[in-house]
Amino acid sequence: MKDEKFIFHDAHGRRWTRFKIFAFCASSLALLASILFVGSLFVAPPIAPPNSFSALKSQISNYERRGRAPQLTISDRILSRLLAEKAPAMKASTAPVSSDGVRAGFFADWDEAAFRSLEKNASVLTHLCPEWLTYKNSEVGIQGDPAVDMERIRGVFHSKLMPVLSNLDGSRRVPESVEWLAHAGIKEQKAFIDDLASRLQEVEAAGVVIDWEEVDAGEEGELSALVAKIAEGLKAKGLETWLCVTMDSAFSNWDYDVLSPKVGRFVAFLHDENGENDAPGPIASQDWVEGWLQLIERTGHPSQWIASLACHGIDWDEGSEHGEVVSFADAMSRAGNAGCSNVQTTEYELNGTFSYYYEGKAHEVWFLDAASFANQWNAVRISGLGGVAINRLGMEDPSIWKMLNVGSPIAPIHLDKMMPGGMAITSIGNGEVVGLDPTTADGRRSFLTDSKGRILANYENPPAHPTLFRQGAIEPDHVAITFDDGPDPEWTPQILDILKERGVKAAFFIVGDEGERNPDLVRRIVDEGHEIGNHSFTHPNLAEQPASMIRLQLNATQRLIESLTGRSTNLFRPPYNADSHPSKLEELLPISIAQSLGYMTILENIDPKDWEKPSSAELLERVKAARNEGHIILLHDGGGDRSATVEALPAIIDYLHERGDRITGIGELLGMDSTKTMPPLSSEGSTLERAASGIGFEILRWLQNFLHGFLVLGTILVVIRTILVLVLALLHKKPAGVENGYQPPVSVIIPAFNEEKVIAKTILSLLGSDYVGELEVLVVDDGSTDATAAAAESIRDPRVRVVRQINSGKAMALQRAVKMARNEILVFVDADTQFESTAMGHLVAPFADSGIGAVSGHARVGNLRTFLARCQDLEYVCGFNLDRRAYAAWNCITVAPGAISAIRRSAVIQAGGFSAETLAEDTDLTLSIHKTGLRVEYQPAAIAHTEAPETFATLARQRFRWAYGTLQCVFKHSDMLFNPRFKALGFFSLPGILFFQVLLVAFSPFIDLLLLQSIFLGHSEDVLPYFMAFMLCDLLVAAVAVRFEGLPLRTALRIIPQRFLYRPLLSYVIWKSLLHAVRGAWVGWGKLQRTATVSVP
Amino acid sequence: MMPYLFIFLFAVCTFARAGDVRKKTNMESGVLFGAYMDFGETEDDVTLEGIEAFEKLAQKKPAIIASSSYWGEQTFPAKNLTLIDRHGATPLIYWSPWDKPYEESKGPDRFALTEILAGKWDAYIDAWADGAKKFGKPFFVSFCNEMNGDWFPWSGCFYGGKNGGNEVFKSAWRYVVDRVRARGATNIRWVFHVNAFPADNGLWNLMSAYYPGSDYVDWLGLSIYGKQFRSMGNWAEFPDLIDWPYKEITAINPDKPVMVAEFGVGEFPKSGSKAKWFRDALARIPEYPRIKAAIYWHERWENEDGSFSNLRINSSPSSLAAFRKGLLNTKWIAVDELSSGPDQSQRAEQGETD
Repeated sequence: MKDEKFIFHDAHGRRWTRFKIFAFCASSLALLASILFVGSLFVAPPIAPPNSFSALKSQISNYERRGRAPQLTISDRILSRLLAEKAPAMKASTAPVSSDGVRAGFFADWDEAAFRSLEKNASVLTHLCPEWLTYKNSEVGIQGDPAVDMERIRGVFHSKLMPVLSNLDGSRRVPESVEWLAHAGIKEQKAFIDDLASRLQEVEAAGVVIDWEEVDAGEEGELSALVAKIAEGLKAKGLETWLCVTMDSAFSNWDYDVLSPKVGRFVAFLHDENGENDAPGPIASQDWVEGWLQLIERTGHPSQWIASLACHGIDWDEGSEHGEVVSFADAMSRAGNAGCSNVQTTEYELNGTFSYYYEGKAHEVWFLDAASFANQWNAVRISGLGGVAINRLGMEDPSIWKMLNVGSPIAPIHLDKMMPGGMAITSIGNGEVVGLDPTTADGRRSFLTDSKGRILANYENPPAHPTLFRQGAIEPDHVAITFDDGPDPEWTPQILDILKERGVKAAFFIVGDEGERNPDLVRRIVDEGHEIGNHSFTHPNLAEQPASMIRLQLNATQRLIESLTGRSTNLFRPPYNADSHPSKLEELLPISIAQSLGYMTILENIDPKDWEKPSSAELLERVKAARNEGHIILLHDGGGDRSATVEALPAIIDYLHERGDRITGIGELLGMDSTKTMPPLSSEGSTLERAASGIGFEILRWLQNFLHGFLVLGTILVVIRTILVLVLALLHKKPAGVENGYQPPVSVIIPAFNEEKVIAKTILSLLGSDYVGELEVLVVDDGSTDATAAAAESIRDPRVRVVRQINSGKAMALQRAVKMARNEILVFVDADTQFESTAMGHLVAPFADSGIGAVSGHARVGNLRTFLARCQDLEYVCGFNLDRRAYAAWNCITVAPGAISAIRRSAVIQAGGFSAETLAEDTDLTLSIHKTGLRVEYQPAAIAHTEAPETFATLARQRFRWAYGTLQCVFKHSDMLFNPRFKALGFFSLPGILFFQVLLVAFSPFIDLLLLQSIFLGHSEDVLPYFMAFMLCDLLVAAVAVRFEGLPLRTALRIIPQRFLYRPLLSYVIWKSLLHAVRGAWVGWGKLQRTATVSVP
Repeated sequence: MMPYLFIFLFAVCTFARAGDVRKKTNMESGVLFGAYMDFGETEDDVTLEGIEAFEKLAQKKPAIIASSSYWGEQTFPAKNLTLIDRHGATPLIYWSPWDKPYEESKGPDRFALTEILAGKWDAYIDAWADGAKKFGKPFFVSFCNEMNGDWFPWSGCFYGGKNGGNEVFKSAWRYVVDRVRARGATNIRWVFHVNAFPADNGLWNLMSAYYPGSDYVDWLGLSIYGKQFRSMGNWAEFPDLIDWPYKEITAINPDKPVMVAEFGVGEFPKSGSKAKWFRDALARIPEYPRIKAAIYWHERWENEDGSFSNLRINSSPSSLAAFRKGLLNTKWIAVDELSSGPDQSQRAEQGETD
């Protein structure tokens, strides 16, 4: 026995030893490499920042402006002219008496700081004036800003809502629409009023604040007449009208006699003495405010007026007429960072001012604070105005809020000397490239009063807030095009082609995972002179990630870029929050971490939202509309269908060129070349990590490609096989059944090893068969250690013969039985298998055809008690009903199973008998019979019920035996593979075993992992379709098979859980078999634990 | 009275001749549509956004886009020319020797004509000419426009008026043109650009009195404005504004093409109909055979008294509609209707006789 050849047997164990040494070395190496690779992702690669943040910070410095005589503005000139006019006699007020308690706030919904201020101070305010409506197009009518979230406002503010109706188009005033309305007919005006009223009522507003500026008063005062008419119309509907009056020539163009009886309040804009488009100067000097207050008094009824007081600053490039409106916090932050020591209220204007240098440019800042507010508020109350409006929320010195409810004149004791730091996110400079200084610190100031009792502030120490240092806006006509989320095999090459054709350089912010999958594109991007930036590895929202995850995300992508291009990048763009105005602290964390790793953060202000897939014309329009907002355009080359982007790109480039813009990389935007933003790797330092990460990414990619290729190939083959099997199974003609009357003498052979519990039942089921021919039952007890033989002998029936042998294996038992059998037709039955009463007749009938050498019966699982057994039942149902039918149709059945089959004795002998060379002696014999030229048929009507393993352990053992045996058989009969002599057997069923039952099963868990990974990384579209195709094939096969069996269709659904629980087990078994094959060990029966639970229904 | 009579007679005599010339040279019909469009306080903030916004309003793309080059800026507007050229149009530059603050009626400053003649600005003129040469393509230059008024510092009235003010002007013109040509900037088409009506009715202030000679001028230009200010007197209809000046200017030279180098009117519905003014202007201008181009002045500004002058074509829906409709007249040539070949230089040439 032991000297017989056993397939894969390695008697000396040399192969195993060699394999063990090899495996040990390989796995040690793999482990070491993995550790190095993963480690390299956590070690931050050294990145040379083009200019360190401290260098950027040093760009800001204190600068003492030369003192100069105050300059008269146009507004000043108008004021002095109006004041010089003879004061008209005081008119008796015709206006309704109004209280002086208005505390209103102007509110811009887009400013997060405004909302935070509202949350804190809502209880102080009597009215809120959100910027909401505009009338900028007479054909379209009033337009509401859809971005304004009234519900959110209503959530924190419960008093009167007075939305602003402006004539703004962006930041530009449109006068024509209002002028047209002023000259329009009664009908048009009424329609306007009705529309306005209904919009106000819709949001339950108390009224409207009309802010129409730069509008002509009309030859005969038509504008005042219009506003009066509107106010009258709204009043009839219970709505109030406030009218904003700017302190310039428009002041005297309003006809207060006409307006006063109709309009609820006039809102005096006591600011903009110098606006952002004027030359630098005070925003609202005290004398100027008081001058206008005098004029307001002269209108006759000051209590009808509300003072709109500003509390912001303006930062001008010195000497220019380009200013930037900034909040008080911004002004403090700039003063503090510049180290200005002389920030104080000026004696003459009573506004705050200071100067500083940033990026080589002198800046002049004027700002309003609690001191200027106190002085103005005191003056306003002396003039008897009806209240105050903060213009606008979020910009203010927080200290003003306490003053609003102080009864007495405001004195220094009402003002806060301590200014808490970290109250806002502030910024310095212009541009979308940012650095961050997260430092916060409290500040201090002192107050004193001048001879007139007016308050002056002196800032000893401005408070520090988290500050963004902006860069990249030096040249107004420089613009950079950036692409996020790539590289993508479909879109990125098209984009690169366009850029190449037009000679344009861009920056690509790649997602590491995409770069890993498209290494050639990453190289091409760099080779063609573009810049690459880091956009994280898997594109999560970094603002929601822990710091360690952010570092890992950045490092992994950096390593990848380094390994692919030999250059590193110091450009970073956070996924999701790329607009250049971070308003929440958590959005600053990624910027801060990236900076600590050596990155500059590249945001953007031109976002045409190409992911909304607008038409290319619309996309171009959006770029045009936002071009003046910034210098960096955000497009996408990955993450979805980018056809719109590709289509619009040439037009966008042409437009920018026509406009006179220079399209630059990020480096050039900052005044440096791209070797600064993407420096070549230096030879020193961290080379080990670099090598580890490089090789690691390479292997990972190779593995992914292999699995993906395998998946694609597998899917194609599975689909083909499924179709083929279905067609063939349907084509298969059932062989002759019992009705043909061919019932020759039969010898039934039962090999048994420890089958005490079931053997008697099995024999009885055979004897009880309605087979009319002569029957002989031959039980071979293979040296059982239990009472198997006795159990068989207990059946007193002359047809039963029991033979004992010392344990020498199933094949030997069978060999012996074949020799002893008296009849030509041999029926093989496993000791645990119960024949249905008609099975024998059906099984034998096909032998009427002398060309048939063997017939396979139809095995079903008899013990359907457990889920595992039901899974196997479905597997049997599919295997017998479809596969075997199909194979029979092409005469390529690979196994007439030992559980139920019939073979001619002569065929067994001709085929060389049962062999102990493999664990699957039935498969071995079946293949050998094929070689004799006899056919192997399948008889679906011959049904036997076998006992399936009920635990994973026993199932694993059984399947291992089958798998190992099958491998052995395929190996032993490898001469049949692709041998034309054996037709379908050589080309279809045998290779099928290798591929579908060995390879595919072995790799299916890895494919499952690939699927999980792809779902996690958000590109499941790569794997899911194949996976679904697999699933669909399985379902289809199961459904058809179940129908064949006459079972309810829903049984087929069991294939889904089976796929996820059963397949991994099979895979384990296959791997174990392969390992055993390498090892060359001899494998025993691996018998099931018999439970005797199968009964014939 | 006398000068008018004299001019009238002269004009009548020459009018017939102009008609002959037109037949003889087979001058193409049609008027190039042009515009100046709100390019900011120094009239040189030319942006594609501004141009496209105007084109959207007018629904016609101007073949000529006008902007200024003030001497006080001491630059050549190369960027503007390139932008306009890339957009396909031909630039017209009002080249105006005055200094900041650019306020009207304040008289000569450091760029006075006499200073120019004294050679003080030779370097600037040369640099400017070099810029023009470098640009290379033909473009229009209206140097010292509306010199017969009294608001710009180069007007004859500031240089002695009847005592040779016009002569100073002519000398300065020739001096500058000679200098620019000497630098090789032959791609400039010089526009002799007067106001339709003189500020002073003296003979010395006639259009012809300022004419520097046919060798120094390529085109004749007219500014024609209707009511611009609320405080300005009566509304004037377009036909009354063009008839006489057309005769006067065409009388200066029988061949040179004429350009309405500026025209516009404010929106004062109580005084008159801007829509009608537009209808008249856009229908009439192409009827004058020698007018080959017309530049609309699309601008709105605020006056000292707080009133606004709105010359924009969209100052009211009715005005805009009239302007658009008027431009539908096929005689108005837009930039995309030019029958030019690949060589852009033909654009400016189109309509020229020589």
